[in-house]
Amino acid sequence: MWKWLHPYAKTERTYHLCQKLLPWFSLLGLAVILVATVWGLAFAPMDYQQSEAYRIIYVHVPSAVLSKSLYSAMAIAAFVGLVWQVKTSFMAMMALAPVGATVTFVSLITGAAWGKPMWGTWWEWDARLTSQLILLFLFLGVISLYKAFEDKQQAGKAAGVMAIVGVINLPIIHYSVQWWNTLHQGASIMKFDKPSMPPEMLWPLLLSILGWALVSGAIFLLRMQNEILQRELKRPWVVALANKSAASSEGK
Amino acid sequence: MNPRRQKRLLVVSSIILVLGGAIGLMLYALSQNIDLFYTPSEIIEGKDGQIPQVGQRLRIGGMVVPGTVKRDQQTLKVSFDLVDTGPVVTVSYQGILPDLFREGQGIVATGVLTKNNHIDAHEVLAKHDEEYMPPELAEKMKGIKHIKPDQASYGKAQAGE
Amino acid sequence: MHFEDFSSFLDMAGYGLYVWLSFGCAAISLLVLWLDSFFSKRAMLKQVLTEQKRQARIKAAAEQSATAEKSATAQKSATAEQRTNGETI
Repeated sequence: MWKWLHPYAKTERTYHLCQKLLPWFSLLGLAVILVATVWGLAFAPMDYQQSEAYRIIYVHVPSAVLSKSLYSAMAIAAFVGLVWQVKTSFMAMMALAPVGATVTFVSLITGAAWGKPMWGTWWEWDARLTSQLILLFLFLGVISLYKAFEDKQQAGKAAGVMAIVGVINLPIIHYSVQWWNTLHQGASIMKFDKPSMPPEMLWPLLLSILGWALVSGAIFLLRMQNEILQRELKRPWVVALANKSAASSEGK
Repeated sequence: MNPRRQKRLLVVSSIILVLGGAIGLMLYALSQNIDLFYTPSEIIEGKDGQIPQVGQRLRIGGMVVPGTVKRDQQTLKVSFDLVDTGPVVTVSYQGILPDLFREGQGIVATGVLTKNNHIDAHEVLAKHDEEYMPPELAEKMKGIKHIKPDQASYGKAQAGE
Repeated sequence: MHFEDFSSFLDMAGYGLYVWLSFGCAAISLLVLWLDSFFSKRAMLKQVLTEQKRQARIKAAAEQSATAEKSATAQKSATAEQRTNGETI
């Protein structure tokens, strides 16, 4: 029991848990994303309005959905870290932030590349697009606030507060298309009634969301390990681990 | 409470206060004018009791009334009517229209109000809805045939009707 | 298969630029993030090893200098003698 509570034993356990999950998330995620992308690009029927250009949906929607989920996950980690003073949860927060920022960036770029041919503009300051851009700035803000502090415990707290305050942006993103009139259309699948899509278009989309979630999960696990390593470089278990991994790579 | 903790509490709570205040102000500003455009009935009948002035730069969003798209044969000049629920506003524009521009399509146009029901637009954007379906299904359900953008000719479609 | 041939697949009914731009950008972004995560993990484990080796070297050097202190001082005086000899010549 004492070993469980021991803070260093805990991070070591987390590290090994990540190591165990990593190949599953990576391989499964890669496979699912490949199948979904090929299905969406080459096999799904075209759209009656947007012809083949709508296929951008198979990267745009998964990245946009993941950007919001990753932000929620980051905020929950920040909350747990602030309230229960769990050290690993700030590490999780900082492991999630770059993944979330990247995914948000992808959703903005793919949105622009979709907007240009269909709407006639790369960018428009409408409520949905602007709030999604704010989401990117929130991710970047959390990262840079954390880096600004010398004392990492304090850095975690400051960045955590910012992550939690930023949660208010999530419902704004989601409901922006209903509260205001925007250029961006309403939700196709994230709504309570039936999705506005036939199954032969919907399946690859749902599959691609799953694939993106798994791949983001894999990158998160890897970054979580990095966060742990970074803080415990001098711990004996890390030294033992480094020796083991060096030995196994030499053996190959 | 020791002084270090007190200081930390002060720092954290002031960050929350500043951030919260900034977000609150932003939201207030947004709720006032985040709407991207006026609808045609808002232009004619007014929005929140205010009718837009002639000469005002504004944006309008509405549906292109089928059969009102008039194209100049020589230039890129085009004019069409926009509608939402009631009155109609006419938009004239010179330039390349987005691929999704069709009769019955949602459109957002930026320009200057020249008469109380006429806008000279310098930018026309197309809105689309969240419905996606294959062309065959759309033809069956809605009677809409997919037209490839390079084949689309609104003048012709009008003549055919 | 929705497309008739490969070139129409690439063309995407004229929207090829936008479609491939989106997919390419997504792939590159995820790949870069993954590579960064992967290589920083490797670099950190390597850093642990070099640090460990450095510590071992310091320890070994300390031990060596402790045992060889006497001979070292003897050698030092010998070389100093040599040098003075050389200078006089």
